[in-house]
Amino acid sequence: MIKVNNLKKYYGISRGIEAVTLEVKPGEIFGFIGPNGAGKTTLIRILMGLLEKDSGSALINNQEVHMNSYEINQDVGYLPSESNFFDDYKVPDMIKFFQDLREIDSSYSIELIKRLNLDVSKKVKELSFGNKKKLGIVVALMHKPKLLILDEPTTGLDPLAQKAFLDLMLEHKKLGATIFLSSHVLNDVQKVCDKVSFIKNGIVILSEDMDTLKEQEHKKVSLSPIVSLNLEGMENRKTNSATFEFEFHGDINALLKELSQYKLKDVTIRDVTLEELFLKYYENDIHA
Amino acid sequence: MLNTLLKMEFKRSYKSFLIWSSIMVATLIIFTVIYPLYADIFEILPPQLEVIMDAWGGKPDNILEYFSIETASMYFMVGPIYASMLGFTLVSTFEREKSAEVLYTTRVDKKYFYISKIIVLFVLLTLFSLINFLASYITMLFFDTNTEVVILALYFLMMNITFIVIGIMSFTIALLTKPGTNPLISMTLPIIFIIISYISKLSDNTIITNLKYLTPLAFSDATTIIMEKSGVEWLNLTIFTAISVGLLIFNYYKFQKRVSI
Repeated sequence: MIKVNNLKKYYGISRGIEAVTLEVKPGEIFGFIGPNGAGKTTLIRILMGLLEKDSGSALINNQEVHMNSYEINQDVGYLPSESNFFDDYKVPDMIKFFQDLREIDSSYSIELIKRLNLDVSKKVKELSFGNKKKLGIVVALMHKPKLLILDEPTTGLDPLAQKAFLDLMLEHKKLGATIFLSSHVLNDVQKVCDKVSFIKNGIVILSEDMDTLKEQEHKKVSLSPIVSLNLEGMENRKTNSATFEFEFHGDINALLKELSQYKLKDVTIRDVTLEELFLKYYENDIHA
Repeated sequence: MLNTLLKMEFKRSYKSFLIWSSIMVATLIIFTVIYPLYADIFEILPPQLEVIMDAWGGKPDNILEYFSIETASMYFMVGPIYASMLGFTLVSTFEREKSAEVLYTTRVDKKYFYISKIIVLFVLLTLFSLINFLASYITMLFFDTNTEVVILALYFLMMNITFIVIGIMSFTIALLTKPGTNPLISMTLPIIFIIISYISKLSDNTIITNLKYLTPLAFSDATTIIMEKSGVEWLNLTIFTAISVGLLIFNYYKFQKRVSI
């Protein structure tokens, strides 16, 4: 669905993206993760035909994207990181404008408004940041596009709207849509994404299926009370006042067998979170 | 699709259109209704001042000639500023409010956005001219029922073309400046034209007089058309019409390649 190869974009002398290569397959929900200024929005804007690339290639449905690539955008829904519309319009007028532009009826828009609990009584300029984001989601999804490109879609949404949005993503996936989203809310990405890419300083440093990523990574283990345990694959041991924590890279069955010999009050064994992975890959930048 | 864009563009432009038109119509009416007062003043004008008046077309003998000297000078100053603001904001509004990012990524070819904006520019400026023509003519009829409507209409038609030329030039300026540039910058274009036009009337020197041909205000000069009845400066009109057509083509391609974010 999306194929990007060695894509480069500079704004004068400042870097947008250096070398981005990734592939989003049809039907996938793809999470694009990176800190501010890493190049996420630049890539998305090139894909949407808002910016011209310097070199490399970017294809949507095997068609090379370019400035004003409206023919490629026929079946794409786009949500920018900041949703801005006509301040002087009322919300229903704004939605109707986009319906007319796309020559679609209002039935699905009405459903989206209800599910996202969007306030339609106000003018656009009176909406909060979160409600503007909801309006942006309605506009992006109203025509049930085959490809959704979403830049920071959950930023500014309340927890209920976030849940409604994530449910919508899974529903659109079931309908056959491909979804490419960038996000800082890694918990959300973890909930819905099939694949993730990490971008750092304009370069994609990791692209992996979520399942593979979890398998390759360690488990986080927390025990209470503190016990003396020594197994192959244990790393980064930390002892707090009442708990013993470590990362475990070895055979989980061996760990369980060993733990069964102790009288424990509490045991937690969990996958590493995307946030922990993110911090692992970017901690040098954070410390710098 | 084009209808949807046109409706949106008109809906978003009509408030400023009404404000500018109302101000202009009110100004023209006020200047016209004080004609009897001016007529009395002209009767007792000292000969020295009559010499100065000659530089601006001479002493008016009727309300239409008075219009060309006094009332039209307001129209000549305010109208081009509205035209330039309209031309500039048609490009810059989406960019300043940052709605361009959503609008230009829909399934609509940017050429339709361009066409809708140019239609709005032509229609609103023509309506502006028409409303002001009707307001001026009807007001003049209260003082002189023999007012020559054809010559007045010719003046407003030429001013309308001037507005459109300035609107197109401002559209080009908007496309050549960075997104987010303040629309007030577009006012420099008509102000420069107005200053050049005034300077060209201050002397009999041929070079200075010919400076007026650098502006699209020469072919719509009120004293030339109404007072002197010299007709229209066709060469000036042709040159600026040709420039405008060239700019329309340039703008068409530039608009589609413009980075609006």
